[in-house]
Amino acid sequence: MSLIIKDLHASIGERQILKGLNFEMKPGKVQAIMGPNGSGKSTLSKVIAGHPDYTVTAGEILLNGENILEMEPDVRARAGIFMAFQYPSEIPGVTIANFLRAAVQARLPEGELIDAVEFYETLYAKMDMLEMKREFTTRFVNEGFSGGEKKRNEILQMAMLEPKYAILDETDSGLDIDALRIVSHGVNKLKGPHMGVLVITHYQRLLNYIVPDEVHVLMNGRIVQSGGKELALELEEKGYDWIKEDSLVAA
Amino acid sequence: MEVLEQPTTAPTSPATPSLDSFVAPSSQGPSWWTQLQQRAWKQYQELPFPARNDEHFRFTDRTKFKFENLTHLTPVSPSAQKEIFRTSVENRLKKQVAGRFVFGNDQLLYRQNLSAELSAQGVIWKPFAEAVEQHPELVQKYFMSKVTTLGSERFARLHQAYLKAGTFLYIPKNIEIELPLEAFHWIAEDREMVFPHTLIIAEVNAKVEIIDFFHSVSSEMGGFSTSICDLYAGPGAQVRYVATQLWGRETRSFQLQSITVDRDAHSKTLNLNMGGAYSRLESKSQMIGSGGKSDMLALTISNDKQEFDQRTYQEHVAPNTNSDLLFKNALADDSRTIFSGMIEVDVEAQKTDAYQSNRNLLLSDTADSNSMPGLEINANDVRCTHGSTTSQIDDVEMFYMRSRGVPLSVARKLFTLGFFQEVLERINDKALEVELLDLIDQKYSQTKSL
Repeated sequence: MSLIIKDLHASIGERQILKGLNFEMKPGKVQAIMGPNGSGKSTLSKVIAGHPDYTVTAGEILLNGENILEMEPDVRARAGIFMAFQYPSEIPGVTIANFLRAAVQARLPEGELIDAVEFYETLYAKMDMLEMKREFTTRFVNEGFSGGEKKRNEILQMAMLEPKYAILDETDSGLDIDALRIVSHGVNKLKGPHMGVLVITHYQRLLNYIVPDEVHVLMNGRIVQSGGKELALELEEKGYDWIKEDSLVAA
Repeated sequence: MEVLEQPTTAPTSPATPSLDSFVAPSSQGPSWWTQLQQRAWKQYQELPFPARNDEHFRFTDRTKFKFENLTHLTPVSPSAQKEIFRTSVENRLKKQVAGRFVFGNDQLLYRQNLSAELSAQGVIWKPFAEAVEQHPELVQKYFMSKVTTLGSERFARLHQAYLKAGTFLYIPKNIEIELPLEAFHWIAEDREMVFPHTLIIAEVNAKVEIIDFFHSVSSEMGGFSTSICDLYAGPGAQVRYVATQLWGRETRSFQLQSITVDRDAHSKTLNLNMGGAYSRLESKSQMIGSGGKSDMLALTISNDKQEFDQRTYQEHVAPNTNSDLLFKNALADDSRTIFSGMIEVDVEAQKTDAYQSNRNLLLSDTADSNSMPGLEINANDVRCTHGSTTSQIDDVEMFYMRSRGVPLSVARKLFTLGFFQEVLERINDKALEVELLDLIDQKYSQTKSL
């Protein structure tokens, strides 16, 4: 099982954002990618998920040897990729329960119908873990949700869909400490040998709660430095300028 | 299946439609009734066909008006009877109703009468022909006492002349019927015409729910229907009326509704429009007593080359009245919808609170929605809002759903059902909602551009 990103170049419109990014997501590991604004963090997560606004101009993303760039977003998701959105969409009129049901149903073999009782048992168990009230299931997806509720809902979806590779895109943005604690607790419970977690974040704060095995620094569309969790603390202390100079020297 | 439309007819020449199929209908019953029907036939003949520049038919594709070679009162074949019975009765055994009638080709095929208890309380639920015989004073007082003014006067007279089938419902003062009443009207033969009638009279503080189903035995079937529903909500009454229109693909229909809301009464109507080639709905609410309220809801699901032509009117006659209209259309393939609405506030109707909203969701680039909301306010202390919107499937939401593994077609369907949810919620009946969603689901399984 592997997810390998090779020499990835991606642009939005005329603007080149990823400029030869190499990275490997590892099962059972929590990896963090940190970087300043405009370094390409969000682009990376969206390109992996298959967002139509981004054009991949070179490189490949291999999931168990197969290039997922050829796959539609929903096919990638069913193959085991999950992205928790920085800004999750509202879907008026569609309840969380119905949405998740459709997502779980899509993973069943053709002709097989979801077991409703089992579905709700699982759903309620995962909601308990995320300290979400039952009435959440009948609310419309993200409509009128607070920032914390939206992010909890993202983690709930991750819990239900059990991806092989989960990418958390700026999950800490807009969260107060309580929400951050609950969301992190959820991720920590879900992580395990069968799932690789990639935490994409600007700030080190989230990494106090979801402790990474590796920290990588993304700047100007490429990974410029890698290290252990202490690298995040160093960045917090010294800022990104320190790396910039360092990497320039290296280049 | 034979094609109803003649391919040689050039679609660009909407000549006056041939109404050849309609001949002086036979009439049975007491003499006052047969005279009334004969008079209606005469009026029908005297009324002109709507002129081409008639505002009530603006945007209407009149080439779809094809009424040739129609038959009436064709006996229902045993195989059709079986299908009708299966859908209207056998498959609905779980649904508890206070009464049910099933008509095929305007002939009564099945009846579940009221309980003895409700009958003893004075509730009347009868096939229309029986009500004409047994309750002439009530029929004479209410039958088509308000005639539509939204363009189809001629078809209303045709209906009156041909009427044989339908339901008559009378609920006396202070009686509440907990379970719904259902009437099914089937077209059981290709090119058959039917004239379903529904007359609902709810007296002071009465409460009732009634559902009409319009079906064809085969989904491809042609035919013609002019149905009328007249609803009277007396002071303090609460009436809910649902019409589920599932005519066959080649059917042309005119569905005329007149709703009268008295003091502190509340009427709620929902039209689910799905079938037919050309389906016209005219719905008018009149608020005649202070404190009266009419909720007018509709969901239209069009695909292929269907056209749904909707004309509404909210007339506030009395002060302190409320009307709230929400018509939502989801258009797929090459289908068309027309919405023309009017809120009229009479001079006396101060403190009117009226709302009119038409929302269209285009599911394909070739679908076409036309919206003409309107206001006419003659009082000075009112609150009226109206508006229409046309939108498309949201790409950002599509990506979000697909990123969870939901295939595009399912995501589009979920999005569309979400669009309808606002209307279904206002009906506030979980069981009915499930039933309607199931029907919508069936339609979407046959829709190309979804």
